[in-house]
This record gives sequence, C-alpha cells and structure tokens, in this order.
Amino acid sequence: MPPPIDPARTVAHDDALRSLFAEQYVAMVRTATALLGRRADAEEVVQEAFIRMGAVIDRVPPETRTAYLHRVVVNQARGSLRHDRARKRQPRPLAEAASTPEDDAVASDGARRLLALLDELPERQRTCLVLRYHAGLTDTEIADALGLSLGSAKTHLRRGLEALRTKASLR
Amino acid sequence: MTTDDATPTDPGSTDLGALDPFEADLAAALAARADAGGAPIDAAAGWDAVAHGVASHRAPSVLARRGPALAAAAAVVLLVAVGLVAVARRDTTVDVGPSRPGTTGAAPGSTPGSAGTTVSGVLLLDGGGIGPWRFGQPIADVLPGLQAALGPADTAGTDAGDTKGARWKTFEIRWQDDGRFSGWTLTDTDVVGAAAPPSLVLPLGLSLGMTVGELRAWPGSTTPVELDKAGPALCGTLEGRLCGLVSASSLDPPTQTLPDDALVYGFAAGTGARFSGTPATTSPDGTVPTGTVALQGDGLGEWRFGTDGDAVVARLTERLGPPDEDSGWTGPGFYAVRSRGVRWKALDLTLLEESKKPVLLGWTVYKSERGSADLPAGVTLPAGVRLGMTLDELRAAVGATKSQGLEGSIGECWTDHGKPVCVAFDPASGSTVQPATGSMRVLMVLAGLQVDPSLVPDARGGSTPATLPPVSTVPTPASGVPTPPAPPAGTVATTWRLQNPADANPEAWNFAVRVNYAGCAGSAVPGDTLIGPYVQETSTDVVVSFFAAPLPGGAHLCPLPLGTPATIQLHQALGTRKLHIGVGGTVRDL
Repeated sequence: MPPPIDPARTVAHDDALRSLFAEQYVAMVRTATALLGRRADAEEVVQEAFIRMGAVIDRVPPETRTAYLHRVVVNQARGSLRHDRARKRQPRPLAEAASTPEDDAVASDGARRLLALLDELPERQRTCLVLRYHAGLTDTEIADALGLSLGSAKTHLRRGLEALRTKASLR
Repeated sequence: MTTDDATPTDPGSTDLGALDPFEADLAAALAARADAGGAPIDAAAGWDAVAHGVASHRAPSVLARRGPALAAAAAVVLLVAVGLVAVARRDTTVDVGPSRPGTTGAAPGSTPGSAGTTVSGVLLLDGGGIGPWRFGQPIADVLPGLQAALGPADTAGTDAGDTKGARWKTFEIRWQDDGRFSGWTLTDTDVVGAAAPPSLVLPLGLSLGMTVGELRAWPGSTTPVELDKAGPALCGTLEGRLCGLVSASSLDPPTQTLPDDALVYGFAAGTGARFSGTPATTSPDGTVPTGTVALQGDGLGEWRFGTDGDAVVARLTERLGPPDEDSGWTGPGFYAVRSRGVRWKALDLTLLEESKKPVLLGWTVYKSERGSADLPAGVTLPAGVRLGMTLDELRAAVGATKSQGLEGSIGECWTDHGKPVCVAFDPASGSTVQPATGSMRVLMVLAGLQVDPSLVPDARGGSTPATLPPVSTVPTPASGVPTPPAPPAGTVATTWRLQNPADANPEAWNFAVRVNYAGCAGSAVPGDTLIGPYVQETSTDVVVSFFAAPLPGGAHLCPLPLGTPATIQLHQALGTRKLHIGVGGTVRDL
C-alpha cells in the first residue's frame, strides 16, 4: 500500500470546528451554566472544551462529535468544581454559592431554593439531573457523557431525583 | 417550590414532555439558571477565545520542531485560526440565540463550496487556494462558489497560454487546460482601477501596501528575492507557496535585492497566477523548468534523496502542476517524526523531518485506490519498468534481481544509480510469503524507503528480546515527563495510538490502543512479539512504551497498518495528567 496520505487539512479541521461551534456553543454554555451556576465559569469551561476538541476533531467521527463534546464539557465542569472546592476548602461550594448572580436572576424563590437543593446533591447525581432535565439527554447519552455504564447512569438519575424530592418535601 | 410527591416518571424515559410537576419545576429552574437572567451569550467572543486557544495549542509545537524557517507552518495554523475568527465575527452562521444539539447554524445567504462546503462572510487566501477551494480541484467546483461569494466575474475564460482565468476587479484566478484550479492573484491596482472584492482576506500579517521590510519579517517568508516576467517577489510558505509582488522599478539590478521600504502591491499563489515565481538563483530568466523527471534509485530528476523535500515538491509542482494529494506536514505519528506525503497521479513522494529539516525520503509508484495508475506526463520509471508487468518481464528489462522482504511479503530489488529500486507484487498474482515467481505482477515500484537501520538493531530478526527491567506503575509524587526506556537489546521501538481518541478522558483508567513499529514496516505489525505496555506515571504525566522484536532486514514500505491491539492499564484515572507515547527512549505527544 502507498505511503499514508492524510487528505485532512488544517483548514478542513478548523472548518469542522467552526461548524461544530456554531451548532453547539450556545447550548453547551447553557448546559455548563446549569451545572456550574455561573455563566463566566461556564463560558471558560466550554471554550476550553472546544480548544481540546480542536486538537482531536479530525480523529472524532462527525456523528459522535456532539457526544464527545458533551463528555469534555462535563469533565471540564467537574474539574472546575473540584478546583473551586479545593480552593475554597469547602465540601460543596455550590451549596453555599447557590446565590450566584445567575440564580439571583431566577425570578421564582421556589426555583432558587430548588437549585440550592440540587447543588447539595452528590456531584454525579446533580450532573445526571442537569443533563437530563436541562440538556434533554437520553440515559445512553448521559452514560456516555459521564463515562458510566447505562445502569449506573440510570441509578444516579433515579437516586438524584428521589433525593431532591425528599429534600424539597422536608423544607 | 413545588413539593408534589406524585409518582415520579421513569427518569429513564427520554420524553421530556412527560414530566411530573416537580420535574417540570426542576427543568424550569435549570433553564432559568442556564439563561443567567437573560444575559446574552457572546458567541463571537467565545469563538475568538477558542480560535486563539487552538492556534496557541498548535503553534509552539510546530515552531519547536521545525525552527525559524518552519514558522510558516505555525503561521498557517495561526493565520487560518485568525482568519476563522474574522469569519466568525462576520459570519451569520454563529447562532447567538438559544440553540439545541442537532440544530444547525447554516447561514442565510451562504454559498456553496466544494463537496458541500458552505461559505459565507470572508474567504481566506493562502498558498494552497482560496477558503475551502484548493488548487487542483476541478474549476467547475470552484467557480460557481466564488461567483456566489463575490458576484459574477468581470471576465471569465480568457485564454492565457495554457491557462484560463476569471477576474473580479483586482482579483483573478487561473485554471489549467485540464480544468483544474491552479492559482490566484490579488493586487491593489489594475486596469479597471477598482479595489479588490472586500470579502477576500489575506493571512494575518500580510496586506496590500505593506513594505518589503514588513514582509521579510513575516514568519512565512523563507526565500530570497525571486523573479519572473511579473517582476520581483518575496515568497514564503502558507499552505503552499505565497508570493508578495513588488514593482520591478524597486529592484536594484546589480544586486538583485529589494530595499526594505519598497511597497508590496499584490500577492499571488499557485501556478498560472500573475507570479508563478522561480528563484532567480536557479532560473533568472523566469522560465519554468521543463523536461522529464527520471525516477532513479537515488532520487528523481536532479534531486537526490536527503535533499530539501519541500523545495523538491515546490519545483515539481511547477513542472507537474498542483499535486492530487498533499497531506501537509503531519505527525509525529507512524514514522515517529513529522512526515508529508504528496501525490501526482501514481507517483508518491514521502518526506520526513530529519534534524528539523524536511528531507526527501523516497518515491513510490502505485495505483492508489482513488488515483490513477498512470505516471504524470514527463515522469519515467527506470529501464522500462511499469506497473502490472510480470517478474519475468522485469528481469528482462533490468537484469538480475534480488529477493527482499517487502510489505510483509517477498519483493525483488535491483540496483539503479547505486541504490536499490524495489518492486512489490500484487498478492492476487501469487503468494505473499513464498519466493516470487516469474508470473507475479508488479503492484508498486519504490526507492528510498528502507527501514531506518537504527530501528533494526538485529537485522537477522527473530532474536529473543531481553527481559525488560521492572517499572512500577504506581505514580510517583514527582511531576514532569518521565524518561521512557530505550529499546532493550534485541528489541526495536514502537509507536501507538488510541483506538478511540475519546477514551483519553480524565476518568479513564485503561485505554485500547494499536501498536506499530516506529519505522517503516509495510504491513508488518509487532503481533506476538509485542512487549509492554511499559507505563510510567507521575503526578502530571503518563508515558507508555511498547517494544517488539525487530523485522527481518531489507526494504520495507511505510504505509500505516492497523497495528497490534493492546491495552494500557493505569494505576489511577488519568485525571488532568497528560498521556504521552514513549518511542525508543524519547517522548512523543499523543
């Protein structure tokens, strides 16, 4: 066989990245904001995810790029949360930081309280709920985004929702 | 807040329309948080950051590997990225409103490019073409898209020797008689005295009216003053040759130099453009070299293996026209160094980066899956050798041949101009493991693609690999990139790649990989001789090496085989650590 010829070009790579960006950036920022509670952090996370995507986009099949991007965004968001937690030396930064400017802008007191309770949940449960009830991902997509088995994703989702209902009913 | 404890819907359901009131409240609260009080998401600024990040991510490694003359390659990435920023800023495809996965940001008024590409906003000019359209493409794919983007051409189809062209004000494109897009020229003055279409963008750092001094400082500038009938120019590399045009009156005839304060009135790229350029040192009259290009055991035409491969490609492009395929410089990957493959019909050139220089490694003639079995016009094989001939016919043409290991099978080689030229046979015409027979037919002809001897310490092959010293997979608290082990006696270096790039995520503990020899090995893979993985973990980096028994000596082709499957198991999840490939004692980026 011949020496390898890679027809993909930098321009093509960047065209693909730009196309993916145009399709997914806003949606990813909204999802990351729902995860992190802060728009600025979310934008940083999503931009970093796209930068990482740019390094590998030619090796990721087009049909899986959105799923891959979800995974990177979720991982970046979790990394951001861990970094924030370590920096603040607090177990759950979002519980305390529930009153972000973003949440302050949420009109309903009930909604703000619900978000605060959500932020008290374990990270995986919280992430599963956000991906399900905000991003509209299927169980399979959630499992893929979190690197979990389908069964684990369903379990986290079910337990997270049950825990949130319980917390809400006690307050 | 709703505290309705109604029977929950199955969270496994994907029907968000079937939410109970509690779930609906949760979805609404998350949507409100995601909207951040209605603050708009600045997609243009976001793309600016991403494009800058991508360019920064790529440029240093390129610069580090290829040195000052190679900064052009980094400039390619940077300029493309910046160009894309410009596109994004003006491009209505960036949706700043709410968006959902699966929706498209297709631009109103976007125009068709080749192969379904849509183009809107601005078009970035570079040395390899215009925006998505590359030199060598059928003009029928290019012209409609350009006319949709720039409007109807002022002139089109004008004969100009062996090329034809189209012009929009001061911008013109050219194509060859065979209908392939071949070049463009952009100037700030022309007979019509009108400005160029505003939607055309030169790469970052280049502008009409800039000075020669500024052009010389541009990272892509690599060559001295060049001359042709269009006058003097300074050229560089950016996805191909790109030349800045300077008035002939600025040239100092005795010294053939240009003053730094001379002005650049235009730019051109490709062949058949206003300036096709030939270095004054080699072709002072501006004529394009002609004549045959003889493929030989030690090189091709007037170029020997080991010479500047990029220059050979540039000169061949002038003779043969734009290549049908050009991978550009990629890697390090299969070859363990950066490589470039360029194809004209059935002729392939392989270039490798050695000591930070792009050298011509070898040539191959074969019928590619998508390409032609014909050689480009003017290119000749030695002594009447041709694809499809039998071994008997080959021996009648070149004399005695010697059996060699080739492509995991048997090939035959002979000496031409002091170096071996080899053929591999079509597997369909005979056994791939038995000595060649006279009726087997030639599948490919090649020269210069021998195995790097340093990767074959034992050319006899098959020796028993030494036992590797134990290496703990327990991460050390130290940070930094560990130094991987050199191949133990009796083994050679390998390289590997992830079977699924998405596997390298922070939560991953193990990875499925494919392992290949680090040097040219044809379709041979390490197989059962694979040793490893040899995993070295620190708090910041992970280096994984494999080794394998050497191949038998002789010539081996360099295509990329699938590789031997293997699994890398880490002591802990990858986390934020960086994964590297250990290749024979050195580290390569994944």
